[in-house]
Amino acid sequence: MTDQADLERGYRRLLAWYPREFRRENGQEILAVLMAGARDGQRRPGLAAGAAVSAAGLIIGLALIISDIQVAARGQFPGHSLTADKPLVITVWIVFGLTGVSLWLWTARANGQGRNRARIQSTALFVPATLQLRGTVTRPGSHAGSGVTVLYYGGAVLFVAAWLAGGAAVWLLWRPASTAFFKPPGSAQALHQAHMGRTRPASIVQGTVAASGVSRADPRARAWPGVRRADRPRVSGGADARPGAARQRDDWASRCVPSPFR
Amino acid sequence: MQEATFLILTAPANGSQHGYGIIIDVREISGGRVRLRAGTLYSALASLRADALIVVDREEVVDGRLRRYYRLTPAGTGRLAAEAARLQAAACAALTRLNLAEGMAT
Repeated sequence: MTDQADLERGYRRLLAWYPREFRRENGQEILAVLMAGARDGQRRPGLAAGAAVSAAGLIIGLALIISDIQVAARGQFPGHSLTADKPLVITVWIVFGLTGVSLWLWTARANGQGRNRARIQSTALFVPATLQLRGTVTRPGSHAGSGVTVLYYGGAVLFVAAWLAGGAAVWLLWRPASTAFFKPPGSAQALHQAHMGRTRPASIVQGTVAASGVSRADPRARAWPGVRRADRPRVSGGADARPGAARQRDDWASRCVPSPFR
Repeated sequence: MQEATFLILTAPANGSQHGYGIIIDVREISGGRVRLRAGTLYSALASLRADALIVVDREEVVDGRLRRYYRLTPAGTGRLAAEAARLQAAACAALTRLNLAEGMAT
């Protein structure tokens, strides 16, 4: 199986999350765009898939709670009744689920951009998943119906699978080959490490700062050096930070012609 | 109008453009700052089509993959022109005031 075919299969699976109508209309076209935008040699759609798995977990969790409520409502187990805290449980579940999905998406984006903090973030996201694992393998109560049991074990299998995949992803993210992607040669942190010859906590902090965009030149900052007053070109002659700044201002002024559309 | 929408309308403004072409154009026009994802692009295209600002111009198959070319409708051209004029007026006001501040100080 070639990388291309692997990747295409992965993207097709993700497209399944779109409503069927939309997929029939645009699926082939979106797939073409996704494939055109993929990096050379890329074989997987990336961590965005993690978000999809989170969503699946959320849905299964909700189904569990709802069937629990139905069981209670039918009075099949007398010890329990439909208590007032159920809506609260559902709300908390939805909030946690959505937070999880957003965190995954945010991390996926940062990973795609090669930001070093994304690796740390991914690892941090993996920790609560590990803690949750213990709760997942707890048996459901014997009072629950067989439907609940199937849902429960289905959810547990999915969760364990997601956990294993997450563990593999975290391991891969910290491999030396990945380090080349997250710290391109010539970046401040790569140079620092070349000098020190080892990783130190300080360099991780520096890497995070660098990844947050402080050291990466922002095109907006180049176009106009700052909205803040302190960053504006100096008004009174003297040492203007940028040579040619005055000339450029003239260019801008000359572009201000009356609009033909008014 | 959001910046991404403005740029998506700008990409096919002088003819027609296909999906991936729009992503490339938008990145170029914005100096690399706006990088559209396929999901963002297609939800924007869907709403622009619903508003009848763009239409499908034609379809081609390149290397076995579907390419759909989009072009602006007259309504789309009008909206883009109006928005461009609005942005230009605002930018001119800002630049004029900045130049004015310079002139008064020297």
